[in-house]
Amino acid sequence: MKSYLCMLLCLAMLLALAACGSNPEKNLSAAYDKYLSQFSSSGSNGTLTVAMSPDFAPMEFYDVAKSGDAAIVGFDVLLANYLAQELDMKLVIKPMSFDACQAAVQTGNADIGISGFSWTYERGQNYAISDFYVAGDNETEQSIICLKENEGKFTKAEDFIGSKIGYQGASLQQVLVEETFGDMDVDISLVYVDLGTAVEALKAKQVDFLAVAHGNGESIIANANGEIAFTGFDFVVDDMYKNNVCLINKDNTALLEKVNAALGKAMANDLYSGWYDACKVYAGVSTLDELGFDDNGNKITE
Amino acid sequence: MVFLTNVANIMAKYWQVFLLQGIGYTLLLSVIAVAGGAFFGSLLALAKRSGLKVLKAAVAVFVEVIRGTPVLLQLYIGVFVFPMIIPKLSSLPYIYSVSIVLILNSSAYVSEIIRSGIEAVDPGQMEAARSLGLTQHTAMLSIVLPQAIKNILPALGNEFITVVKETSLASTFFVGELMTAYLKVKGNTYLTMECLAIVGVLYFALTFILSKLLKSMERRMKARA
Repeated sequence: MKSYLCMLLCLAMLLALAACGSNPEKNLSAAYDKYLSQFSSSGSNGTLTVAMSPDFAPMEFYDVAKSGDAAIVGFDVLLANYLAQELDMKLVIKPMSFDACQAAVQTGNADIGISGFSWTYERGQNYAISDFYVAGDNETEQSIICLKENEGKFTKAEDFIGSKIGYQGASLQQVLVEETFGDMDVDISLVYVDLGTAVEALKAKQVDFLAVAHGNGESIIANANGEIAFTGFDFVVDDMYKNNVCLINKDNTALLEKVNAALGKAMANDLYSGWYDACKVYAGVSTLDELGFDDNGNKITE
Repeated sequence: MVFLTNVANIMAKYWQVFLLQGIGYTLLLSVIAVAGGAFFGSLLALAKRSGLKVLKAAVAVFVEVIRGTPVLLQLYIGVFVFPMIIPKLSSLPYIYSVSIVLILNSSAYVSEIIRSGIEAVDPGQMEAARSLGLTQHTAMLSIVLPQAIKNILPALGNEFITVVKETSLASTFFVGELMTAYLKVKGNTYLTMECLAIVGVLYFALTFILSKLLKSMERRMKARA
């Protein structure tokens, strides 16, 4: 029994040792922080409670270096802060799993769900859906990823005949895969609960390809130590799927109108692309340099 | 090898999320659940042994419903329905609703542990005490309960270990325990198996240490008896 305890202690020390090796990193959040600091709200119209599932970089994820509510970051967080400012409400973000987000909006536990939702017919039946917002190329481009050895070899839908394509259940990718490959001799029976599991299946060769939103694909590839790459195939995406929407309780038409007005204004002022670029840098997908920021996170304009 | 490198890299960057927040919140939730559960569970066990038929029936229904439904479902109801009943809850972080649900859940199990612990004491003990002239009350307190506690404590320890693992379901609401730590880091890195392996080792270490502690406590109790 003593030896067991020793083993455990050793383990704990190993973990602690690993902890000591943390390396200093460049300030990835500079551009993001700059955008975030621009928002302000007196909160005179009460609170705006937002349900969000922060496990989906770069749309919403955790920055472990920050604490409390500020630790939840990403494109949708900027959008939520923007909406709170426009509606003059105090922002409260409630983190929860993706399906709980919908339950929260339905039960009135949250005013609005902002978590990279795409429009689907069923969602339109059960929720008030806001106008579209555009998270860079996260949704406009929908791609297929594969193991590195197949990089760039599959560019037409016909190239995938005889293979297995996986996707996240109840997602836009499911709709796209079914539309594109449903009639072909392609195995599309592999549905995953979340992207992380799907990526493991891809690495373990249980599935040949994964359909992902382009932005998520970039995050996955950036973290895969060169094991994963884009096939070169992009889906033809119908306009109605291209962008994200917010979910609002069906009865809350007053909020829906205000949110739509604010979203329209953001679109007209072209706010989205800067936010999205900042979040891509933050999530480690791109560098400040690549996306035209200087080292302090200021967008360089020609 | 890539796997181990990934694990090391993840630990280097996110060790606080796993070791401080994750383990901290897991232990906090478990202690709250079991302490609250022990308190309310005792009350429930008392109610069940009382003469009031209505009270007995109510407790029986509560215990059956809690034991007959999944914890995840209870958490959803706690988080989304409790605030409708207690408006104060809606402005508090989810950890409050989650704690209440875990306490309720644990109290149902603990009440059964206590009931069975008392019932496991030979009825002859009570009869003997009564025939020696002790009142029902004193006989219960000084004859039956001390023996019952010896049955109850180990089972309570097991309940604690079960609760440690059950708190993982609270990650649905990102309250910060180990499984939430997994979700946070996985969301950033898209490295699922590595994060799961870390969390798995930590859960095992927690429950293993706890069960060893409980074992040694049990041994000491036996030695004293």
